[in-house]
Amino acid sequence: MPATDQIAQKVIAVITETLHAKGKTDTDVSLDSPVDRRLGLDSLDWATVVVRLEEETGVDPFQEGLSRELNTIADLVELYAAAAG
Amino acid sequence: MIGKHLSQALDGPRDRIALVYGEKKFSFGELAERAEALRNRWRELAGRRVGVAIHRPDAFIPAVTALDGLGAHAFLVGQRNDTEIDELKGDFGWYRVLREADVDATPLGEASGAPPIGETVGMVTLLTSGTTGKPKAANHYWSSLGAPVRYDDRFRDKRWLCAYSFHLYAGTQVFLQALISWAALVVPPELEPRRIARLLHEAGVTHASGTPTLFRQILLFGAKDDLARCSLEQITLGGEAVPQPLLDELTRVLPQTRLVHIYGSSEMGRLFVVTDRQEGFPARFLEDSPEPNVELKIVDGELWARSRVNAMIGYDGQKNVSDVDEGWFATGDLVERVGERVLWRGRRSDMINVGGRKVMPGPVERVLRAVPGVADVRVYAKRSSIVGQLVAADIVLAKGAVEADVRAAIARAAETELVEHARPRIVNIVGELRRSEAFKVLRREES
Repeated sequence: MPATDQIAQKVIAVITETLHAKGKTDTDVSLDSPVDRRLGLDSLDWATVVVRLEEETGVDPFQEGLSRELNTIADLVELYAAAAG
Repeated sequence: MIGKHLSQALDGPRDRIALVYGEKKFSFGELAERAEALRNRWRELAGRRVGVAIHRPDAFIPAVTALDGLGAHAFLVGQRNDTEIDELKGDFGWYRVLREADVDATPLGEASGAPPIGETVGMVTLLTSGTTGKPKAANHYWSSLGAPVRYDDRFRDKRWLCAYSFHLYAGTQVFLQALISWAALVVPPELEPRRIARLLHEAGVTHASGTPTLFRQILLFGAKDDLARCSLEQITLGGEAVPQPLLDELTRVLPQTRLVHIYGSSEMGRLFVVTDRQEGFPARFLEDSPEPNVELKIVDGELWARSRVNAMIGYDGQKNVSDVDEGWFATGDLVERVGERVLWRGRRSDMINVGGRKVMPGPVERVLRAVPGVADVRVYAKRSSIVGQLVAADIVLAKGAVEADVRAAIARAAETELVEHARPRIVNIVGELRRSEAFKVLRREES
């Protein structure tokens, strides 16, 4: 499986688990899903997602701040894929 | 002070057991003879600043008593690697660093010809653990360090288990109490809860000293049969806040055993003692401290203390403690007065900052510890590039507990009893909790 696909799987899995932990079990998470409040995650949830993804991927692309806009989960996957090299 | 005291063993209680360490027993006479030999060999150290990187108790006791007899200034190093020790040697200007090999290489036959014990007062320095950078060095005289210790004839036949390393303030107190009273010290070769539980029974320990974390581990993992068969007259807890559930469990398992919590520090020495089996301390201590020459006050939620007898002289190379803030010292311990009780709220340094909102680990741990299936818990800060820090928890499962069930129960408890930013976002199931060398739970931020 290409590396980007693996990262996409991990990103979707971690976000889904985080939503389930909040009781949001009927949200369908895909690469097209928005990363704003419509997804149902607040700032603490996103902070948790980033920590979990660092554990899964070994990288945290937000350490130096964010220089690009993120609109969808696909953008997030691209960010992690670039950080992972 | 201690040099002179131990040398009396040669004419007095030389055959009394002073130390039980593993399978070995050492008499006061043996330790005194070793100290004499060291005083002879180390005479060039008279008046010098010396690092003491010695941990084995049968080597430590003769070494520090020899140095005291020479009027040397002993810096108690603790568990540090050679690189750290070299740095400290340079930072503090030590003439030499002594290790176990230096003690072991000194034959007992060298005792004759030892210089007389001088009247120069020996100093001893405790190095604080500190989370970053150079540790602070709290200078004491052995006499002031030993000020809270009382000779009592009733202690002569007691056996004191010391689960603290001797380079820590609490360790020095147990060591001094046993030495002054000509009582036996029992030192476990390793801080393994099951072995300690067995040792308490097999070595006939009457007084046991250790951190709340250690005794919680002993209750969780030590054989309850060994504990129940102990002859423990007293358990002395220190180094951390003592939670009520631990006091209640110790009372249940050992109803005849006195429970004592000593609060003190490397800098202030012993500040007070609590024996009423309740967590925290009586609020009346703020107005009328039971310890002579100790005063307490709360400033911005932090406990401050002033002590005229037990406190350090000052940090090495800095002003005397009595010359700063009129002798008042910020302990770093956060407290809250609740009615007639003052309760511990954690160390200021343990505070977790979640996007500007402060969380203390203690109350979060209390909530999680009450969740069925949780045997033990450690709450700490997890670094977050998004909000600064998040609350994380390491959980030790109780025997037979199902991880999925416990995780669900933790989530429910957190939602019901904790504000959102205090809820642990990262929950790890671990085999055991991370601890410091002093057997305290580590709560430093993790990345």
